[in-house]
Amino acid sequence: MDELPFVISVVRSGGFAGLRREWTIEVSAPDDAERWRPIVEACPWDHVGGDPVPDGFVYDFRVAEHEAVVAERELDGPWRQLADEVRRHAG
Amino acid sequence: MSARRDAVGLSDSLSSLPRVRRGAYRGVMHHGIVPPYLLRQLSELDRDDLSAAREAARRALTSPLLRHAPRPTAVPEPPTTPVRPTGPDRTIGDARGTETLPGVTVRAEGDGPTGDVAADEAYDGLGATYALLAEAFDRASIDGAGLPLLATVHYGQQYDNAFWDGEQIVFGDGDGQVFGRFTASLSVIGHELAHGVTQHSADLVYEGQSGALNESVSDVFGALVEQHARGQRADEASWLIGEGLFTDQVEGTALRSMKAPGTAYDDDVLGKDPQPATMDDYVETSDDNGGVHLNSGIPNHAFYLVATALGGHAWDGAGRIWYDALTGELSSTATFAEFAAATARAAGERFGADSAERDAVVEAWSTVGVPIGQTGSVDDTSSA
Repeated sequence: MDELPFVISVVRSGGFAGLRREWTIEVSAPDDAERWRPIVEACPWDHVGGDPVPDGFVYDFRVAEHEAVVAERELDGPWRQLADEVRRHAG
Repeated sequence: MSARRDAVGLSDSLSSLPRVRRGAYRGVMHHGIVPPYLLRQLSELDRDDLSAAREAARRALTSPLLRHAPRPTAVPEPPTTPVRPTGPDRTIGDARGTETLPGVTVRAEGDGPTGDVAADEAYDGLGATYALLAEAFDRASIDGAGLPLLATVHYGQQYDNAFWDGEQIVFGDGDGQVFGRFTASLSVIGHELAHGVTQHSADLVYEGQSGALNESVSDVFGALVEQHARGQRADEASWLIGEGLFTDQVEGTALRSMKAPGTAYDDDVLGKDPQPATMDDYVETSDDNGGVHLNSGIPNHAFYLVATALGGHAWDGAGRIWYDALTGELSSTATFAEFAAATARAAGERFGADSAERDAVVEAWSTVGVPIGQTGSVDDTSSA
């Protein structure tokens, strides 16, 4: 995230329907980067996992060098904010 | 553009095409996210540059999910004493648009209809699933020991899903544009409760081939619940999963087809049903826990082939064989080949080594590209 632009993507897969959805934003303005960095850095990128529940959604987050797969059950706090913000800005 | 397309959004790419990639998280299985003490610390931060983290932590601390104790998913289910089925014990909760489980109880066993269609469909669907398990397999509820059945309706806002959380079913109302309410299809209700049956029997790991088997078993029993409730023979059934879930704005009849995997929908926004019917089209992906909702098409189709080859009510022949395999000596990490061998063994033990049932099982798995070898399938079925 040190270099601009960078891309934030959220992929939701699984669920009963097994449909894949992807929301992506590209951050290019320095002001935008300053706003997104704390949201991204609040996420515990190195501490994810947890067992999936049958038919629960699975979220795959990617930002620059970061990647994490988060089960719906774990989608809370900073992960939830990141997912919601990306969906809001991409949608 | 239609209202639905506007709602989905231009930059919101919606595709059922799986990506081919291995996940970065494999092997890392921490349970839980940020510990509550750290959330409390973050929530009290007084720095503007960390306001996002602070707000996120505050939300997390007030989230209903935190109040869930960590689930002992790694711990085997406690042993239960099988009992004879004596009737269901159902409770329907209403989350009233929140994500709090189980919500307010709106209908308990023996209560009359509530007038709320989702609550009443859930109640009736739990009853229909209980009836299949009891009448076809003499099984008392999902654990064989009379476990009470719990479902929550009206979960979340425009929530496009139904799932089994390890203890109960959760139903969303859908967004109203792509999906309607998830209680609308009896096969969905049966599918979710069947996850409970699997959890209390083979406990198939929800990833890769064993995960696709877990999914397929749920589709199989979801279809059987519907056929049993309607009194349908194999040749009369739709073999569709989730029929009626899509709104009329979607070009599709259902979420999945066991008769013809890959044909349930073909829509310009959703894309085409990506399910394979045979091993030739097996999908390698890290999405969806390794494509568990995609590759389930292969064992789904094998079941359909057995059921239609045998004719009659599918729960009497094919269903009985699948049930015996699931509740027998099946590994929790079973592959398609191991499950195929288990069904052949089960068919041999129940119907005979030279039975039409066992022949149909072997033929079906061969057709979908999972040939059953000698190992564990042919030579040890003579005890039947």
